[in-house]
Amino acid sequence: MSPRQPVAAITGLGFSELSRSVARPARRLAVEAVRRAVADAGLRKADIDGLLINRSPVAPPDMLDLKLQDELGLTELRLLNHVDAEGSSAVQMVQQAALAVQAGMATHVACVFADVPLQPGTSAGAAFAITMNLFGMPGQEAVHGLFGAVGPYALACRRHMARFGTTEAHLGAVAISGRLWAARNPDAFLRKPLTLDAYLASPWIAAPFRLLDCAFPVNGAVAVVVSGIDRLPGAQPAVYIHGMGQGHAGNPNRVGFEPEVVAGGRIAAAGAYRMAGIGARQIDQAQIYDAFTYATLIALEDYGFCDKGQGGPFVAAGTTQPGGALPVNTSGGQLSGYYLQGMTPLSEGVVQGRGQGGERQAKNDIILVTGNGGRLEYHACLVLSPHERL
Amino acid sequence: MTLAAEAGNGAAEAGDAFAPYLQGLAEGRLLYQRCRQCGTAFPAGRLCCEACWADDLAWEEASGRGTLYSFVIYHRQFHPDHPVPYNVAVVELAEGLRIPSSVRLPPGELQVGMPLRASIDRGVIRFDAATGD
Repeated sequence: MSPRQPVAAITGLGFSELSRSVARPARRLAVEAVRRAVADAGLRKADIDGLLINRSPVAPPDMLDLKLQDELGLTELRLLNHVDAEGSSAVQMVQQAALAVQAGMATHVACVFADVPLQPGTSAGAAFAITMNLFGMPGQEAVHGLFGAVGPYALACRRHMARFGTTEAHLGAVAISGRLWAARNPDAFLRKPLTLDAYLASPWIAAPFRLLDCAFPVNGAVAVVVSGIDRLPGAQPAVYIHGMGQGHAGNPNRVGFEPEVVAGGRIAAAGAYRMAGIGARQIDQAQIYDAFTYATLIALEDYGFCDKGQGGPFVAAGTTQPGGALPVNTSGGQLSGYYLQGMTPLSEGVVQGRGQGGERQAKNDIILVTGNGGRLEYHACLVLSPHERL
Repeated sequence: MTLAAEAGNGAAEAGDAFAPYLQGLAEGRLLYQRCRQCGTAFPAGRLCCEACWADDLAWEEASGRGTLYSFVIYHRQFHPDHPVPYNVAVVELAEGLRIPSSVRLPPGELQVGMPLRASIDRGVIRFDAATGD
């Protein structure tokens, strides 16, 4: 195991109200989350000398601009930026904050994400109903009707099904596994038990994806505080950052590449595991960015928990659900817990790292947190632990 | 997810690089780009060779032959111009690149790997099942 010091620690966690129906300005939610995260850390406003902001790439840019600094009245910042790497941003914010505090550029950095995708009069689907640039051929996605993220992910999933025999029942197993964990999480939005029959009966969105293959968006904000390990406030158990990695394999649309089934998670994993001095085998639990069931399957493969193509059987065998050998998405994830992009797996990684998971607490000595953005192009991950040394 | 569709797709900048593709479609031709240095073929609109960074790119006409690399069937409607159900396909052309399109077959007849043949329908590229070639 690694004799190295951790890079930094996550010392605070704060949530705004999370809602399916109330739409308050993102700035308001972000302020709430930051104040709560700082209080949770046992810190005061004056202690915060870094602010990193992640806004949703599908929201107007001025919804959460750098002026959040002035909403918070922070006048002594030594670190301030947006982190714009799509769904991998939450983890990337923590990485940048960790590097800054390790280098002495800052001491306590607040990292916040806020989004209000559900507005009155707009369906949840409409909030995400734009096109993704997958081919570099301007406008061609729209010409052919490839809208949202659901279609691009469905294309990736279908390729995996054709190549490896992944089935709809495998996708259902991912949804069911998350729902089993959500049943143990009083804050999860979807807690009703889910059977395979009920999964298969849920309406098609973009086949092979049904409604229950897709994340459950909410309006809200989540913030964490990242602190230098020599300045731990001590109000909460520190969650140490031992490994950090990123992986971006691009999206080459030509023979010799299959970005739909092998993605950058493998690059992120290699970097984070090497930094932490571990292998996949040492990981006790994984908080995986699961915007779609398929995202979990490919992450299990790319992060080294099973062979390429075997993600479906791995989940169907019960490995990831309560009682299984590798707990995955113990809050219910984005599918059953709540979807606020990268903050979903990150926040649960912190809760679990602190041993505050209650009925859903799993073995937490070494925790993987992933972030995944675009249509699988952008990956970042953390190896976390309550232990200062692994 | 990426802000896209209108100018946010970089269309304004990529427009010059992509215009010959649209012009080709208007003339009934499916064009793609191939690097004269390394021979790599990739979808139209790149500003240099994806593989070797050379600027020496050629426009070539595709044979129209391809295979179905993947597909999705939309059942939830996102746009009035695209009433459900409809498919979106990724087709791997014989030349080695992949492009977005659709296949003129019912959903039950779509199979990854099936051979396809291109046709251009009012400036839009679509594919049919290839028969015996």
